[in-house]
Amino acid sequence: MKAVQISKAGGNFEVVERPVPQPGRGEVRIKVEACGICHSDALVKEGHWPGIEYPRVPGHEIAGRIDAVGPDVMLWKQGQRVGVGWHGGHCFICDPCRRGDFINCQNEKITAIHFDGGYQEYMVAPAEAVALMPDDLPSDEAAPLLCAGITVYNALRNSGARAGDLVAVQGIGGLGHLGIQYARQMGFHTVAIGRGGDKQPLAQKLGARTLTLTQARVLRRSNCRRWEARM
Amino acid sequence: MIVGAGMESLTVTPLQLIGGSKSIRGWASGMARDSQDTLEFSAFSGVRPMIERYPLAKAAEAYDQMITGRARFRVVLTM
Repeated sequence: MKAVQISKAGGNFEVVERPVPQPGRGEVRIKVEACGICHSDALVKEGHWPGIEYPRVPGHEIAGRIDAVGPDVMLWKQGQRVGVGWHGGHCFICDPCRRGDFINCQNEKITAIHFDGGYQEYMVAPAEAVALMPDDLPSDEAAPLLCAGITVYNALRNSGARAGDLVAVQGIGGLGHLGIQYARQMGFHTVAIGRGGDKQPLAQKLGARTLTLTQARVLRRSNCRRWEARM
Repeated sequence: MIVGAGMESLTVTPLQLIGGSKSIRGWASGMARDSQDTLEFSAFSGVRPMIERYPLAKAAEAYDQMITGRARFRVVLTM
C-alpha cells in the first residue's frame, strides 16, 4: 500500500510502499478514504512533540471504512463508515480514566504522534478512538470535522453559552469558518471578528454578523451591554 | 475560550480579569464519542468545511498549501 511518512524531525514527506498493517488486540484496521491536513501536523513534521518515534505517518483527521477487526473488539465490524481524530486512545486504568475523564488519561495516545495516522491507504487504530460516521456525510468533507470540527463544536457546546447568547468568533480561518456555522446552528447570536476584507462576505454567508478588530475594540470600550459576549 | 493551538503567549493583567469576574480557558477537543456527535450534528444541520482536495501522493504540496495559510480553508488528502 501507499503511505506518506516523515522519517526524521524536520524531514520531508516521503511517498513509500508499506505492507498493509494488521490490527492487534483491541484495534481495528481502517481503509482510509480521506485525511485532512491540520496545522498541528507540523508537530510531527518538525518534531516539536517530544518522543515521536520515526518514521511516522502524519494525519489525525481520518475518514474511512472499517476493513478488519482485531481480537476483543466488540463495538465495531467490517464495513462500517468511521472517523478518527486527535484523541487516539486511553488506558482505562489511570486515575482520570477510572473517573471517566478519558480526555485527561495520563497515558493518552495521540493519533499520528503515538501511532501512524491517516496519510496512508490503511491505518490501524485503537477501538476506543473510533467514531461512527453518518451515511450522508461524504468522507472528504467529514475528515476535517474529526479535528477542526470537534475542536469548535465541543468547545461551543461546553462553553456555558445558551441559545440567543452573543458568541464572538475571532478569526475567519480553518477553525473560525466552522465555528461560525456551528455557533449559528446552535442558536447563538454569532459575530465574526476579523481583519476586514474579503472574508467578511463569506462570514456573513456562513451565518455571522461581522466586525473588524477596530470596531470590536470600540464596542468594548463603549461597555454596551448589547455587545457583551458570553463567549 | 481558546481553541486555536498557537505558540504565542497571551498577555492579560489581573485587573482585566477581576472586573466582571472574567476568565480565559481552553478546551481539549474531545473523545471519539464527541467526534461522533460532531459528525451527526454536521450531517443534520448542514455544517460543512470548505475544503481543497489533493491526492495522497501530493501530500507535500497539500501541506505547503496549508502551512503557508493559502488554503480556503481545510486541505484534504483523498485516496
